[in-house]
Amino acid sequence: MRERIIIIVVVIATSLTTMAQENLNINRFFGEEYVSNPKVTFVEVTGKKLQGTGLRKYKSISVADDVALADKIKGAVVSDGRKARSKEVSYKEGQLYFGFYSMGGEGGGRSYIFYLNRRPVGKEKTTLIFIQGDLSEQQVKDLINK
Amino acid sequence: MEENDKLHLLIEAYFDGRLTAREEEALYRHLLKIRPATPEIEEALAVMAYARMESPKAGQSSSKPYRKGKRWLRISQVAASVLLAVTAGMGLISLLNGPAHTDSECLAYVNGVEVRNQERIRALIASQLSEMGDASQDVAAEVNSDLDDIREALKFEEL
Repeated sequence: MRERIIIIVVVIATSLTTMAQENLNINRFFGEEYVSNPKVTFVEVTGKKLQGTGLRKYKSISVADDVALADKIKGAVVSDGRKARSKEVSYKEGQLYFGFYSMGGEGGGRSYIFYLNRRPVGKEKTTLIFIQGDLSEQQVKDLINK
Repeated sequence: MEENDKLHLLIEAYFDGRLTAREEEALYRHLLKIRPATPEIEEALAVMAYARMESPKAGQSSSKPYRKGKRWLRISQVAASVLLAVTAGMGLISLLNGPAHTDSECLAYVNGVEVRNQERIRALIASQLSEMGDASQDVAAEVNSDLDDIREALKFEEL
């Protein structure tokens, strides 16, 4: 009985950890609310389509010439960034320009966020990428430096 | 003493493992009759029902008090129930707020127009990752530049 209770608690705690990782502020930008926005480019690839890449999910939203939405994304990224296990961020002109956040997780549940705000370099375009998969930080960095 | 206070004490005694099986059975049957049930009663009933389900001796009469070590078990059961409820709640919220797509998707919307061509989607991904790579290299270059400045400053101080 004791073992059973411990197993239940461990399983539930593990589930909660996974859900907490899923429960990022940036997730709201990957819903249907924004896909029909003419200023948005939205990409979502999950499951079998990513076989062989080590990735389980790839989601991105790119916003051009929509300052309000870009600012909302920046706020969510900054907020999620506070919970990151590790991060590399760069500011230009006093604004967040680039961010790479490792959000933790285990195995295929490891999550990463990339953020790029081109406003400081004179272009009103923001790109946010959420990646989940069984990849180390270095492997994810290798993806962008191919 | 008010009926509610008595119940409260009995429930507390139950969670502390101070009731005999017979007393526990009597309390369980009494609580089942109370309508509307308070959250405290609901919680006690939930734990009791779970314990009855799990224990092969549930419902058997006994005048022996439960062993003291059983308190942790009650606490664990309550904790497990709460965690289960929270998990279910979070799952529901995630289901309601999350994307409407299935677990295996490959789609894109460019300027509000749906794109299903996989080659084009791959090209979009490659382009986005490449832009991130360029920005990352900019950052690395700036870090190196800052470090160079510091090295220069240190050399200057040495002179």
